[in-house]
Amino acid sequence: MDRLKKHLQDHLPEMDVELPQSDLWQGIQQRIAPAQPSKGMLLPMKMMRWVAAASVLTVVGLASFLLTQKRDGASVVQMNLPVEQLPLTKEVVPQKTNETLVVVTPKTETPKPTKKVLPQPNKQKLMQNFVANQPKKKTSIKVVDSAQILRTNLANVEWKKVSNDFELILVAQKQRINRTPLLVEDPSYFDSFKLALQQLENDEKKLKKEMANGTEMNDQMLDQLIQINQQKLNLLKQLQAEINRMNERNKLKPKSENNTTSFVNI
Amino acid sequence: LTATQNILTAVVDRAAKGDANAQEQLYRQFGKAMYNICLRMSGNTADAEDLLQDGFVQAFNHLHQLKMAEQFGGWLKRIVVNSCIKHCKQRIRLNNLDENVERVDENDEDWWQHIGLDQIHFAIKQLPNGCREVFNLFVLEDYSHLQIAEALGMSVSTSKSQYHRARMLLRAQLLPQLKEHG
Repeated sequence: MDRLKKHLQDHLPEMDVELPQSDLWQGIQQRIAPAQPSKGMLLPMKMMRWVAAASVLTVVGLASFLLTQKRDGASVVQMNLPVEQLPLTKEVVPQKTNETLVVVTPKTETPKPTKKVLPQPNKQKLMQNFVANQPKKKTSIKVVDSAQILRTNLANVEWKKVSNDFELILVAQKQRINRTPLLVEDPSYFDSFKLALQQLENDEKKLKKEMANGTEMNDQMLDQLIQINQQKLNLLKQLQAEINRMNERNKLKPKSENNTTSFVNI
Repeated sequence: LTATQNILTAVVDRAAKGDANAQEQLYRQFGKAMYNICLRMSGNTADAEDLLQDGFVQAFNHLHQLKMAEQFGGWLKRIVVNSCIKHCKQRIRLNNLDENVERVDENDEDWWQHIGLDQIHFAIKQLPNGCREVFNLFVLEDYSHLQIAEALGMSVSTSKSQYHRARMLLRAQLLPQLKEHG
């Protein structure tokens, strides 16, 4: 080992001569992620989890019930029609007349007696009328996974909400930075912030594109979106703090003729 | 020593559980040393403060991953040094780093023996980008030239030449001060 290296390593603690600013800890504290729950918080957190689980179950149950109801209403008619007579969409609703009763009767060889049994000739005639009124187009049956639709819709609502909420705050912060006059320092000094922000925005665009392309939304993607936006916000806050710090320093310096006021355009 | 380690372990455990007081205690204990590392690596106060903040935030957010609490100091230092390397790597322009620095033969004298360590600290801060980081990593963080080359994305010979350049500049800066002030 060379002697200078050994000398400095032997006296390393003596080289730590400068102290950080006293308010630096507050900045660190603000940026530390929320602490893990302490014992005192366990009960409310457990309760919160149960409440959240119950809410999710209620929403899913309600949605399934509504979707099943809707599907059943349409399927009563579909079951009794020949394949070529199947309706195009689910919107086909049975008519509220006596004729409907004839149509919904199960199509078996020995029909069960109903309360309103119509004479046989009438029944045949009505059936013919109904069949004649149906569209002649042949259709294929589209199988729709209602749970999948529900899941995707909920996820989309969630990420759009996150994105919009953050956007409002980010725009406000950007405006504040753009309004802050910059003393002496050249705005290009802050280019690294702009570059970092641009990178984050590119990442966000890429993620949103993936979501828009129909990739199934999951917790990880939502977390990524939140994280990117939080990083953007932190970056803008740091930029604001840096500008303020620079301005404060320049206020202390004696004024010279070269002092100019400019703005960071972000 | 064991008692001190036990105290540190207890504080780190509490900090890992999110105890703000314990986290502050760790900051008070290690903040100064880490800040001086950041200062010597970055060369300016504004960057050093940012790097110190980033290092502590990263450490506290991942403290649950630290398996041996008594090793907190070394673990934190690695995080801080890595943050500094990442930061410096963006600023170093490799084209400007000359591989052919003339070496000065210093074998005949230990010129640093009578120079205050605080003066050396301030002189290191004033070294130009590139050689400052290499000097810090090689001398104070005990990296090999191969490790420095990999970390900063330069060749081993560049790392070596920048180290000698740093020594030469330090000598040129500090020796006149010594002669002037005795």
